[in-house]
Amino acid sequence: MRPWIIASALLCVALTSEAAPAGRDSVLAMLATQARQTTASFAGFSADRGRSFWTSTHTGGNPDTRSCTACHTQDPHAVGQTRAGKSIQPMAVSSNPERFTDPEKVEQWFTRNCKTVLGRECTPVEKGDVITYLATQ
Amino acid sequence: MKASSLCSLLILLCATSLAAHAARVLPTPAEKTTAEQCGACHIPYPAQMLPARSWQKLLSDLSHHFGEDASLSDQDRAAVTGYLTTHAGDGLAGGREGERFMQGLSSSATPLRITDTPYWRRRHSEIPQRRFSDPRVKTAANCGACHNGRRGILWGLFDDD
Repeated sequence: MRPWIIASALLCVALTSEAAPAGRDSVLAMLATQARQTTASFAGFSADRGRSFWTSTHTGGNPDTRSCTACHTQDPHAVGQTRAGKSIQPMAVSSNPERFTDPEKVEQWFTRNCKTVLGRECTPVEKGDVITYLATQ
Repeated sequence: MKASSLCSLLILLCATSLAAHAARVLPTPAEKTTAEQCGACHIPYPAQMLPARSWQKLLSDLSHHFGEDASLSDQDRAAVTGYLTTHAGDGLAGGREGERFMQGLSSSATPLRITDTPYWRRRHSEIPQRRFSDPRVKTAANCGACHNGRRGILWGLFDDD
């Protein structure tokens, strides 16, 4: 009896984790849901807006890092470098297919880096635009 | 035959102790969250290099971490704080290496940078500033730029990546 209970429990866990949102598409779908809630006029993410956001010089954050490209470089396929000299693997999805597939990582790094670069959190639209841009690179 | 066996054994012993020494001088954090999270932006600095009070102060304000937001989830922050304070220079598991890094540090001082500790300063007193600002090094925080085992620096190898 007992082994069956354990086996069923394990099966349930396996099925749940299988069904749990994972991957870039579900990250984008989650951000789109948030975007619809915060921006009434939201009509989908834009790679062009994402590129512009990614390469723009922002204010409000650390003056040493006023753009995403300060650490990630102008070329999204290139290896970047943190201020402490550590290398950062490319952000372009074609060069680094694992990018934006882990929702926790996506949230953690947008939270940190947006506060560092812009002095505030990024909106769901900004995040979705940037991912959409980098997914086309 | 006996002499050559003895010789091999001695060589093996020497090599083992050298390797052990390098590893013992600057141990990479064994705790997974610490190694991953801290190591994402910089070398995961060995806990032994700062006293527990310094780690506590650093971990209590990660949203202002040397000009960057380095905030962690509460769960990760607890894991990292636990590891770093236990293995701190004056921590329960700091060991003899930890004692070495605490040499000359006043009990009233809470350095937030390893480069502000008397031990680090003494050990690097002969390195000119231009070496640290060299574009290949960038900052004194980039330990691995020099301590990589490739430039004849035997002591203090960093086991990074």
